[in-house]
Amino acid sequence: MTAYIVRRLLLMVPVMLLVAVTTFFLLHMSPGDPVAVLLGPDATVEQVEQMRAALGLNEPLPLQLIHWFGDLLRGDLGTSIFLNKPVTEAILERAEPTLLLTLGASLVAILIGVPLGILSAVRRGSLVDTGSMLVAMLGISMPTFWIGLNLILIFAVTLRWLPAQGYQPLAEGFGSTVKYLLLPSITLGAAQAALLARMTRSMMLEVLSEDYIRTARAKGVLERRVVLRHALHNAFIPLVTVIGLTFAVLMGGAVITEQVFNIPGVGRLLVQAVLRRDFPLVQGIVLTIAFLYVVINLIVDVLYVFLDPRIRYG
Amino acid sequence: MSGSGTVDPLRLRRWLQHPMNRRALLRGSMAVAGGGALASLLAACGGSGDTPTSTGSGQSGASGTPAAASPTSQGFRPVQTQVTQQGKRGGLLRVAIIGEPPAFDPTFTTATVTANTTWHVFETLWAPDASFSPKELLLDSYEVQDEGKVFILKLRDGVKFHNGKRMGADDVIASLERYSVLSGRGKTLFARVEGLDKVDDLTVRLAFKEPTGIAPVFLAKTDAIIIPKEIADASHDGEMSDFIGTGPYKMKERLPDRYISLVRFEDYLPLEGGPDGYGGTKIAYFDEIRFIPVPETAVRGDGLITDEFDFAEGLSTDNYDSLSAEPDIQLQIVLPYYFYGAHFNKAQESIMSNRDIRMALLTAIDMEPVAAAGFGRPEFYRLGPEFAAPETAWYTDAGKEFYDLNDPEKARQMLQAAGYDGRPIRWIATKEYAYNYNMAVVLKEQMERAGAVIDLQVMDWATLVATRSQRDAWDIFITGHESYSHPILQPFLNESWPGFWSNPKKDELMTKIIEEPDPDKQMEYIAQLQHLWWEDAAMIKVCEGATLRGYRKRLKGWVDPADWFFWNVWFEE
Repeated sequence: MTAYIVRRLLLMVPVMLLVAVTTFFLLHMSPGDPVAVLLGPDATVEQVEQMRAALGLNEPLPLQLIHWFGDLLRGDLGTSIFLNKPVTEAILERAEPTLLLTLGASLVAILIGVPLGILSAVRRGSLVDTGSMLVAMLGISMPTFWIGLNLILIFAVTLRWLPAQGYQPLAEGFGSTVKYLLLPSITLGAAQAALLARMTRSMMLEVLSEDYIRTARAKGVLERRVVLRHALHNAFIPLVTVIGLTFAVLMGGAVITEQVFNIPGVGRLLVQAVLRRDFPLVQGIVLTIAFLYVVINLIVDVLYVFLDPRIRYG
Repeated sequence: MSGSGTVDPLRLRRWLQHPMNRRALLRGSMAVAGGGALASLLAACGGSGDTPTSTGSGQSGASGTPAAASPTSQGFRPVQTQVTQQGKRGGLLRVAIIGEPPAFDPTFTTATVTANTTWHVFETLWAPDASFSPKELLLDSYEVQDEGKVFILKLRDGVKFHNGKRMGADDVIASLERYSVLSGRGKTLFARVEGLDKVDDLTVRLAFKEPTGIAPVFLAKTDAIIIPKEIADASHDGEMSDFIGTGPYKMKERLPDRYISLVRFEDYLPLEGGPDGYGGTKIAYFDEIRFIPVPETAVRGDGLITDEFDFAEGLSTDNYDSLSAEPDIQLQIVLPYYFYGAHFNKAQESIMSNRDIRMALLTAIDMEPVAAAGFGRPEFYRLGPEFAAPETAWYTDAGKEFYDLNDPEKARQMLQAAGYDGRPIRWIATKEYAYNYNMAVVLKEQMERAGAVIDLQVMDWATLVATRSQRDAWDIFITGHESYSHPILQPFLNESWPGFWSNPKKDELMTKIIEEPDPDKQMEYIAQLQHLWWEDAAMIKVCEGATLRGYRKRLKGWVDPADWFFWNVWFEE
C-alpha cells in the first residue's frame, strides 16, 4: 500500500509538469496584455512598452518559462502583476471562502442527491421516481449563474431573508459565514445534487438486482436493512469516486458562483486574473487546482481499500 | 462671475495672471454659490418630484440634498456652504464599485476607478471646481511671472500628511518629479519644464522653457498627487505601496476583491469658503468608507435594494424602471460623463490612414440610432459635435457641419473617389462593455450601406487594448473619453495613443493652447482644434453617454458630481 502511494505521488510530478507547461504556453499565446490593463485606458503605447520591459514580459517565451520553472522548483509561484504580492499568499488569502463554499456545496449535493437517488431506486417507476428524476434533469440543465440570480431575486431581493452578495470570514462568526454561504452553496451544489441523484439511483438499481439482495430478502431481513446495509454499502463504492470528483469539480465550478455572489475566493481571483492577463496568478491558481484534483483522486483510490476489501493495490 | 454652468473667461485669466489669496478664493466660491442660488430658484419653479437627481450647473437642484428635480444630472448641483454645517458625523458608508482598482496609485494607472477611490486619500495642488476649471486646493496662492513661463507656488501652511508630517516644498518637488516620470500627462507637461526648485519650505518655483498657461489644468488632475517625499522617492518609477496623502480620509485596509477601507483623517485641514466642485471645503462625515468591488452589474443593483450598499455605481440602465420604483433609492443619471465614438487607426499601416476614406465613413453615419443602441433611452445620451460638455468652460460646436450627415449615397461616392477597393476594414470590439459592441453593430451596418466591408472582430477587453497598440492589427475601435476634461488632456491628441493621430496643424494648435494665458484666445484655439478633429475625420464621435448610479435616500449632501466622491456627504436616518 505504501509503495502504491509513493508510486502515485511520484506520478504526480509529470502530471503537474504537463499542466504547468500547457498552462504557460496557452496563456502566453493567447492575445492580451496585462500591462495595457494595469496602466489604464489612457496610457500611451510608450508607457505600456516601458512597463512591459520592466516586468520582463518582453523576454522570449522559453526564457520566461525557464525563469518561472526555476522559481517553481524553489516553491515560488511568482508575484502577481496586479496584486503586487506573492501568488501563494494571494491564493491562501482567498482559500477560506472557496473551501467553505465547496464544502457547503458538497454537503448540499450529498444530502439532497444521495437520499433522492435511493428513494428513486427503491420506488422505481413510481411517481416519486419520475418526479425526482425530472427535478434532477432540471438541476443538471439549468446554468449555475441562472440558478444563482434567481435565488438572489427570491431570497434576497424579494423575501430579504439572506444577503444578496458578499462574504463574512469565519473569524467574524460562524453564523454569519453560513448566512452568506447558504445561497451560493445551494447554487453550486444543485447541479451536482442532480448528478449524484442519478448516479445513486443507477448504482442502487444495479446492486438491488444482485443475488445476495434476493437472498437477504428471502432470509426475511427487514427491507430497510436490505436497502441501507446490504445495497447502499456496495453501491457506495463507485459513489465515493463520484463524490470525490464532485468536490474537485465544485472547486472549479466555484468560479461562476463566486462571481455571481461576489465572494472573494480563489474562483473570482482566477476570473479577474484571466481578464487582466495576470499570467503568474493564473498559472499559480491553475496549478493549485490541478494539484488538488490529483490529490483528491489519490485519496479516493486509497479510500477504496477501506470500503472494499476485495481491492488490493500492489 | 456667472453661475456654475458657464465660466467667465475673466475668472480663468485671473488665476493665470494674478496671485490669489484665501480671501479671493472665498469671494470666488461665494460667487459660485450665489450663481447656484439663482439656479436653484429657477429649478424650484420648474422642478418636479422624486425622479433621478439632477443638477446643477445652473439647471436645477434646489438644495444640497439629494431629492431634486429633472431626469438627468448635468454637472454639479449648486453647492451651498451650509451643507458643511448640516452634516452629521458617523457611520459606515458602503459603496459598490465596478471592480477592484488595478492599483491604488493614480499616478501609476489612469483607470477611472482608481482616480475616484484614491482622491479621498490623496490631493493635488489644484482641483476642478464646479465648472471643472482648476482651483487651488493644496495651494494657498500662486503667481504667474515672465509671461506664463514661471509659476511661484505658495503652499497652504499647516497641511498634514496622514503620517503626521507637515506638507512642504520638498514633498511637492519629489511628487511632481515622480509625476513627470510615471504619468503620460506628466511627461507631456514636464517636457516643457526647465526647473522645479524650492524657494522656501512653503514655496516652489516651477519654470517652463516656453509660456505654459495651461499648467494648472494638468496639475488639477488626479495623477498629479502630492505625497511625502520619502514615498515619492521610494516609488519614483513604479507603483507605490504606502498610501499616505493629505486627503480627508486615510487608508485603513485594502483587501483586494473584498474592500478598500478608508477612515476619517482627524487632522485634515479643510479649505475655507465652502465646497466647490471637487475642491473647496471638504468635510469627512463618515467614520469609515468601504469601497466594495462588485463586478456583476445585477448584483450591484440587488445589493442596493437589499440595503447591503449605500451607493452603487454603473447600474444597468435596463433596470432603471424597477430601481426607480424602490421607495428608498434615489437614482442619478450622470451627465456630463463620457463621450463615445469610433477611433480610426490613422497610422500608415492601416487603410484608415487615408483621410478621404475616413471622411466618407463619417458622412454615412446617422448618429441617433447608434447612440440609442449604445445607451438605450434618450435620457441616457445626448448628441453633438463637442468634445467638452456644455457644462464646461471649453464647450464649442465647431465642426458641426461634419456631424450627423447621414448620407450613405454621398458616402458611397466618396469611398469610390478615395480609391477604396473593398478591402475588409478590421473593427475590434468587445462585449465586456455593452455600449461598445452594440454601437459597433449599428455603425457597421450604416457603413456597409455605403459600400464599406467591415470585419467585426469581437474579443475581450484585455485583448482589445493589446491589439489596438499594434499599428498594423486593426482599423477601427470604440472607446469613451471624459467630456468634462479640458480638451488638451484628451489622450487621443497624443500621437502615440492608439489612433495614432499625426497632424502638424494639430500639434501647432496644441502648443498654442498650452502656451496661451488668455482664456478667450485659448478658447479660439480649442474651437479650431475641435474643427480640425472633425475636418480630418480623426474619429467618429457619436454621443455623450450617461452612467446610472443609485444611493439610499438616507445619504444626504449628494451634489451629483460627474465623478463620485464622499466628502461633504452624510447619513440622516
